[in-house]
Amino acid sequence: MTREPMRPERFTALLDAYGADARRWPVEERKAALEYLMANPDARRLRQEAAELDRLLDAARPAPPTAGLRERVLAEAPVSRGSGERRFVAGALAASLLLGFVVGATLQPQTPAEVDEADFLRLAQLDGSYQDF
Amino acid sequence: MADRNARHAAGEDPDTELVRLAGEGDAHACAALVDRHLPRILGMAVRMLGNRAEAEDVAQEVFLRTWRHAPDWKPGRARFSTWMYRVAMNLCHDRLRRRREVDLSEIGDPPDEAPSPGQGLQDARVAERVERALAQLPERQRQAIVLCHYEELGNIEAAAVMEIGVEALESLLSRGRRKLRELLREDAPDLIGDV
Repeated sequence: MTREPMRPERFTALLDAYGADARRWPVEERKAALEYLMANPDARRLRQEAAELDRLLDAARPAPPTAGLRERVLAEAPVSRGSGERRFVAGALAASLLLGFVVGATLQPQTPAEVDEADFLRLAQLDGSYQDF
Repeated sequence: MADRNARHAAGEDPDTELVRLAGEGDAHACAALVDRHLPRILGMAVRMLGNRAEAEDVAQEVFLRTWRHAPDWKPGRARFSTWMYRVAMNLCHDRLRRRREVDLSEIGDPPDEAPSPGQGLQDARVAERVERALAQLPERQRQAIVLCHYEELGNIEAAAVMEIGVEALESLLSRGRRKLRELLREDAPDLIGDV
């Protein structure tokens, strides 16, 4: 396939729109534009003029994102089922420890006969509340 | 500068796998997406809005929508980054429109971006003048320059973000750059010389 040679007016239009840096030029026209540039002193002068505006534009570069913004963005990111399972396991372990502590503290000074129905109900409710954890 | 033109022409979407994993809640993929796109999204919003705090709000909102959409993303229709930039541009447009409705005098206010600590006074002065000129461009011309010059999107992707054709994009770019030269020549003839 033969490629169209770059026309002077198209070369000027490329500079006007995309500036002096060839990497911003449309990929399908880049090679022809660079060949035209190499062969034409006037084209190099025009490119220099476009480069001056490019340099000024490049002077305005905003500061990068702060670590705080990155954290805020990631704090909203989805959590995988695996992570959720890990969290559930950790939560269940914590709940078991708490339950053990409560049961131990409640039952230790009492004989089994002294544990009344209300205590069991309270503990059962506590236990039940972790099922939805 | 990465050659995004060439990558787009090749039909690749470098985010496809990351988006799939992010949709499954993979923390590393989410972090990689943030590190790849947050600087660009934030930079784009700062230049469009001229206000860092508002730009950070926009960036956060873009990623909130990213997390929401990632599980349902279907590769092949458009690049994921194109969708993100379009969301960012639409959010900026909404804020600019609300500003116009609230107070017309805010149009063209100089950006509040402070120079970075290491930047010399001369650089800061140039940056401030360029930002002021950018803020005075019509919104669509500013969008085109932000996408193509600063964010280094290829012409096809930039046109897709703006939902226009490549010819219309080139026209906006040419008019925008011409207007910038005029504004800088008026405001800072010492900077622009004979451009």
